[in-house]
Amino acid sequence: VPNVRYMPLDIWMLGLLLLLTVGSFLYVAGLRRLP
Amino acid sequence: MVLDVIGVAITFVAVFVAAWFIGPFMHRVFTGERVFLSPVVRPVERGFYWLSGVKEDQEQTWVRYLVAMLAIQVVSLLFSYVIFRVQDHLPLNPMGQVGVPADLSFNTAVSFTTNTNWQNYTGETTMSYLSQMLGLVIHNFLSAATGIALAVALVRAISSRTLKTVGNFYVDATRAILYVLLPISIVAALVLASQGVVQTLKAYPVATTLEHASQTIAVGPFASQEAIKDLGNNGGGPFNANSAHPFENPNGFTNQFEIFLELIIPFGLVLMYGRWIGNIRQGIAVGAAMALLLIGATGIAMAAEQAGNPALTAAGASQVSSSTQAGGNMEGKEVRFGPIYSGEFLAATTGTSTGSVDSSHDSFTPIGGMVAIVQMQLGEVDPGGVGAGLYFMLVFAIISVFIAGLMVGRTPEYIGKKIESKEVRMASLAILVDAALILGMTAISSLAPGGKAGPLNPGAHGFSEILYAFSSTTANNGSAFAGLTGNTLYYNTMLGATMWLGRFFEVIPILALAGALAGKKVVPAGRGTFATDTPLFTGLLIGVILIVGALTFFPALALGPILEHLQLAAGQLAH
Repeated sequence: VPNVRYMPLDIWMLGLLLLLTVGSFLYVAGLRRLP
Repeated sequence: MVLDVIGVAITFVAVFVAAWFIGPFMHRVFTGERVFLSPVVRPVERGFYWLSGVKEDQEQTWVRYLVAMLAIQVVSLLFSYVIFRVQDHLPLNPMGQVGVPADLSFNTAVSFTTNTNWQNYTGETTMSYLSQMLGLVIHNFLSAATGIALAVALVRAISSRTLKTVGNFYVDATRAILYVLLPISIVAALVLASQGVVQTLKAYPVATTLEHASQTIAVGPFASQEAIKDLGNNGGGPFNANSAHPFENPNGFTNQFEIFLELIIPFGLVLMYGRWIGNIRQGIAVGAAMALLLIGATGIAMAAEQAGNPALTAAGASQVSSSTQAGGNMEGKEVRFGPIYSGEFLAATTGTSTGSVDSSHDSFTPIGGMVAIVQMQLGEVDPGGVGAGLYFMLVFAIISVFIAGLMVGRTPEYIGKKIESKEVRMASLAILVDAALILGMTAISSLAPGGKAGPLNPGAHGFSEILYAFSSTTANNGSAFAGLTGNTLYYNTMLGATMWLGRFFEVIPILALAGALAGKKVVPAGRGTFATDTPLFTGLLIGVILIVGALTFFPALALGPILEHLQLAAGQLAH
């Protein structure tokens, strides 16, 4: 496995990406509900 | 110097002429009409739809359009992230580049996905050829196509008479790549290669210098990357020096050609818009605002750089243009370009969302550097990124008719569509996202230890380096005041998040605006209608952009480049 020492950082980075993705979809859903 | 200015004028004229042809061409492409490339490209296009199961005639609401767009971004981002991380186990790595660290992979993947191309790495010592060709270039095409598709969706909504849909994202993005980006890129790559831009898959050659020292010369498959780098307003160069490197930008012609490539699609799109809504004058009115802002910015940047550095004048150095020297502020500039062409490149690269550089922006005079910062803070609308420039300019157009309506007591309408509460809220939200991100992230980074560790310079210029970074990443530009050390966990994370939010949190309300406009009936123009295809509207649009920008960003600019300019003029610059 390449760069094993970075694996915890991978989880942090992919977690941040997940957060941004979910945030974006929630943002879409929020604006959709606006009258 | 006069010849340089004539060269700048010729480049701009060439851009406007090319846009005049590309605009109607793109209109035909995105409305599905037959074009001269159809016999070759159409079967390929249909093959893509067959393979991916996309139904060409299936229209999407603005929500479905956004979901499709976001899904493609996330999947392609992860694809590139994995390639960077494991590039040492993949082919096309003759120089044995190791896997890219996680935080840098995240920053780079977000950066290229969002059309920013901010680079916290040195290309020639970090990326394998596969990472360059697949991990990065795939986004150069896809992010540009995404921007064009989003602009097309908004235009379709504005022009729509009855539909509540805004098109099909997969179809729009595919057509943008196959009919527009790829053909022009192929021709442009051949032109660039003919001028000396490098294109090879061989390992870096080693040369022996005159002093008998051994020097490794970085090369790669870069003419093809260079073409889409400029055409798609991406800006991420394979070399750390970007377009200042002779293998990316060998001579004066390629310098102007790259500027030409940066500008033709954004200006072409605005003419496509005019054509689409059946009144080319509407497109010209918006395009004229873009052009006037760009010409003004170019003029200021060129004048500031040609005037030079007052500290050097005070020290007795001549910065006057003559037959033996270009004159002006030559710090961080290539001798083959000089201050005029470097100033023009700066204005073009930050007026669009390109962010490639042929000189060190960090070494520009405070006023020259401020031109770049201001253009990015205004949302890059002169003429803006591929697609992004048009859709953000249309947001400002809607705000302009709203303000005009308030001033004279008329119901605001744009292209026959009434502008009501929801449209103004969505347009305002898009503008506020930009302002909140730039100012908020700059404030946090000016206080946080990780942020304060970044700038190279003390005082006002150090603040400018942080302000520039977040203006650039929010606006998805990618250029930098490169004194800032960005390859740290703090900046990789903060700038990565800013790029994502700057791209998608701005686009989402704009597509919501498109959705609101799409279903509206067209009101016939009456005597009370404020005409939006006149020079008066162009002037109003420019005024609104500048006033909104000044009210939002003047205090921050006063702490950075304005203070630095005053200190420099008074001979009190801290070092």
